[in-house]
Amino acid sequence: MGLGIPPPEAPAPASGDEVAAWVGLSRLPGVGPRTIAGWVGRAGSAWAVWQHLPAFIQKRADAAEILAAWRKVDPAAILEGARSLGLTVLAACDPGFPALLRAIPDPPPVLYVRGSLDEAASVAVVGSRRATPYGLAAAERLAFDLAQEGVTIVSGLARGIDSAAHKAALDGGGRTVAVLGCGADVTYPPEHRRLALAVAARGALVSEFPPGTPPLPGHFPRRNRLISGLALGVVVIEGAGDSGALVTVDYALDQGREVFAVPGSIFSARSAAPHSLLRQGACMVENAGDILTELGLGSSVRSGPGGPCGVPVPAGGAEGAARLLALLEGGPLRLDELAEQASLSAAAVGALVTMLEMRGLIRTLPGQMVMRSPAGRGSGG
Amino acid sequence: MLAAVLSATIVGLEALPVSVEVDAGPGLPTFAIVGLPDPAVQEARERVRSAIRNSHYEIPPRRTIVNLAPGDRRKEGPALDLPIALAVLVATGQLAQQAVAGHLAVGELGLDGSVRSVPGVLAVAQAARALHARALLVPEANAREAAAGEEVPVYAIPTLRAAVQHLQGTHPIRATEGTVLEPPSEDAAPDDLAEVRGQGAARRALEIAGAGGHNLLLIGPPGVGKTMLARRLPTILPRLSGAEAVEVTKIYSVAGLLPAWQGLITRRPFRAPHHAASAPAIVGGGPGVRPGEITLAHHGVLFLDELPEFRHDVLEGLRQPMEDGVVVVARIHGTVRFPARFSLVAAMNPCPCGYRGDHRRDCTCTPGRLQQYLARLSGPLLDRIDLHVEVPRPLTDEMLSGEPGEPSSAVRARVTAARMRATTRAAVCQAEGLLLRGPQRWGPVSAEALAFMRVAADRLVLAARATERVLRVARTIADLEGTEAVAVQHLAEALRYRVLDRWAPPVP
Ligand SMILES: Nc1ncnc2c1ncn2[C@@H]1O[C@H](COP(=O)(O)OP(=O)(O)O)[C@@H](O)[C@H]1O
Ligand SMILES: [Mg+2]
Repeated sequence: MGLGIPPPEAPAPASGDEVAAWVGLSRLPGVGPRTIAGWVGRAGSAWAVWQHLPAFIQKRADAAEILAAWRKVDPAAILEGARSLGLTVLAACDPGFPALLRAIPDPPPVLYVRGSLDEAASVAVVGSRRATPYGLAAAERLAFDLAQEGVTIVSGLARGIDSAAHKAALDGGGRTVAVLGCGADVTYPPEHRRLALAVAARGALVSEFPPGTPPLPGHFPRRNRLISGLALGVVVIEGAGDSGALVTVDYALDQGREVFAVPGSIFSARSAAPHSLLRQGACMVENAGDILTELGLGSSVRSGPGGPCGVPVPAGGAEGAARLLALLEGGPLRLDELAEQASLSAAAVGALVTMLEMRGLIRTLPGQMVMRSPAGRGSGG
Repeated sequence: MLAAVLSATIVGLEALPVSVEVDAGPGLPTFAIVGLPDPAVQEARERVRSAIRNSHYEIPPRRTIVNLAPGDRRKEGPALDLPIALAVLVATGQLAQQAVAGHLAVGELGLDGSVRSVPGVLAVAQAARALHARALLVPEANAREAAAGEEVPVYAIPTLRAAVQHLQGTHPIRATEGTVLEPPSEDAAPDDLAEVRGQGAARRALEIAGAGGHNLLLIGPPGVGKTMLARRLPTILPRLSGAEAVEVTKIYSVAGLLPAWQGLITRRPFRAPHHAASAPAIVGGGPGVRPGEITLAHHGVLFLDELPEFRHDVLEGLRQPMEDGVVVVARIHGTVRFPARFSLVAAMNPCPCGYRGDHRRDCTCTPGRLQQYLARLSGPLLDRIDLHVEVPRPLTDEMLSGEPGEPSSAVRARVTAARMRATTRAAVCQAEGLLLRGPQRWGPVSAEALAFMRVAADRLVLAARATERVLRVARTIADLEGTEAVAVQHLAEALRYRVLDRWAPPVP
């Protein structure tokens, strides 16, 4: 289509190539989403803006830079490259562009998507990258239960709370969306490669950065606005006083989203973020039902602090195993406490825990912390 | 006139018999020692001459030559002072050759003629017996040790003059009573497992380590009792047998670490070298060819606290001795073998900052640093550690408020019984000529357990070597329980003690 270097007089993408125009606009330096949205509103189409760009920027001090980029950027090549990587490119004009996101003050002009987005109710779960076992357990339980209720879990694929939430949503048989601070074809952190593939298969990896963009620190605060923007509410689980989760919360408030916080241990510095939010009036979360109710999604999930959800007796049928599972309903316990509370020897508990772990009913975390695995919890009463 | 007195010098852990020959003949008055003496032996000249004079004997002005035979082996230390002095007295006609015949003597002389303690006396006593010596003359401070093995009659010699008078029969000394293995008095026992509160899982792992002779790695934040637990492993191991006690005593004696007046060492040793220690200090060797920490831990426990901090060459040097139970140390004249059959207990923090999994404090380690930290452990040493177990910080203050734990004596009874079962099984297998292979190598395993093991190896992604370790530990657990065949619950419990395999699973 001859979209190499556009000649100065007629630098337009082929007529009607609206998506390419959005891609082009998104690559102009110093031109933010709000500006683009304003221009497109005035001109009627992104294509019109792209074609007559010099007219839109003539009064700006950085006009020369923008024009240089405008001549250099090759939207069709970016588009082509993204598609050849198997990414879907959604422009703000696209009917498939998430409606919630389109409604935020500064929607991204373009989304690069691996996988698929739908309009199902979504909740964002965010928190510390260095979560405690408790925080991970909370993220898993909430994400799992929400996923089972058909809620899509949105997060950032980071270490800690993010990845725990994605995994639990997948375990719960639900959909999950990861918003990235790098290109949708780049995996960061690298150890989440498998998780990223699983998320793409049962949801989407989403980025506003073109393919190949490295995960630069400056990208993350920006992508946080998409995490909240894609969701009806944001749940904060653990984070220090300066946590990135609070950036997401600021966006959420800006976007009119609900903010939820899960209380943490008073011994942990990671409780600072959720506790300060709770003080400021965030909705306290003990279980998925709290979130569903607040968002008016209705729920079959019972309320009350993570109460017993029934005891699936493992195939071995051991009475001791049932006792352990019941004790763990109250939350994670250390192996020694489990033994004491179940009145079992260290030897017996060790054996039972391994057997239950192999059945996928429980998991052990560093510090000999034993917890129910979300998938292993019975759903009956 | 020519004289000869029997003595011995220490080579490695053993005493090499030495014949001290003295010729005092006409010629210019000299006093020379030949026969590969080391500097300490050379200095015997001065000590011996002063001691003889100060004991009111004489050194006639003769040409005096001391020869230490065999001449091709190096003689070390001042233990030859006493036999040299006695031989000089015989050679100069002040003591009858007949009086010293069949006697073996060791001891350092003070200038005043007093006899001072020397290392390795128990080994000397064994050598004396091998030579069918009539009697052994040793410094007073070493007499209990020398008599401990009941090898030969032992005489405690306070001074050179007393030695001469004893040999002449004018003032005979009474033989020192043999003190064969008296069990250590309980009230003197410094450490007991009862003092460790909580930490049920770690206590259990300690018991399994004791019962099966497995090496153990304790992983936990600071101040949760890792060192306490390690120190108490010797107290739950079976008591030292008489022969083992003699071996241990010999080692400490040769190393110069046996307190004066001490008889046999009856407690299992516990050694905790610092992580900055050099390879010779830990493995053995170095200039003096002294036993290293691993030999000092023979029949006992070697504790390596802060395992990842130990030097790489040190850990590498532990590998062969752990396999063979002996360490071979190079020396100028040939090599020396030191025994080194010990239980290894190592301890480490769960991560560089120490607070991973701790509810009181947040861990500040990045995944990268954690990986680096764990990677320092990888390797052959870890392959020889069957049990790795976490020692977490208790959630409640059971440490202060809890009941005292089970005492060492109760645990020791179970450990001893389990070891006897294992020994019996091995003996039966050998008697029946069974050559066991595969998972049943260490005894019978139920069919159900074999199936379970396959699933477990798959689910938990265990390497083949780890699987083998798990089977051996399960065998020990079954022995503790008194069960003939390894069952599912034994394997399931054994799988708990493979923490590091879970933290850093092998790349599939
Ligand atoms: N489980 C425990 N039971 C009783 N005392 C303990 C326990 N853990 C720690 N302590 C106390 O704390 C001190 C330090 O324990 P230590 O074994 O050196 O910890 P670590 O080696 O794990 O750093 C001990 O001397 C003891 O007084
Ligand atoms: Mg310590």
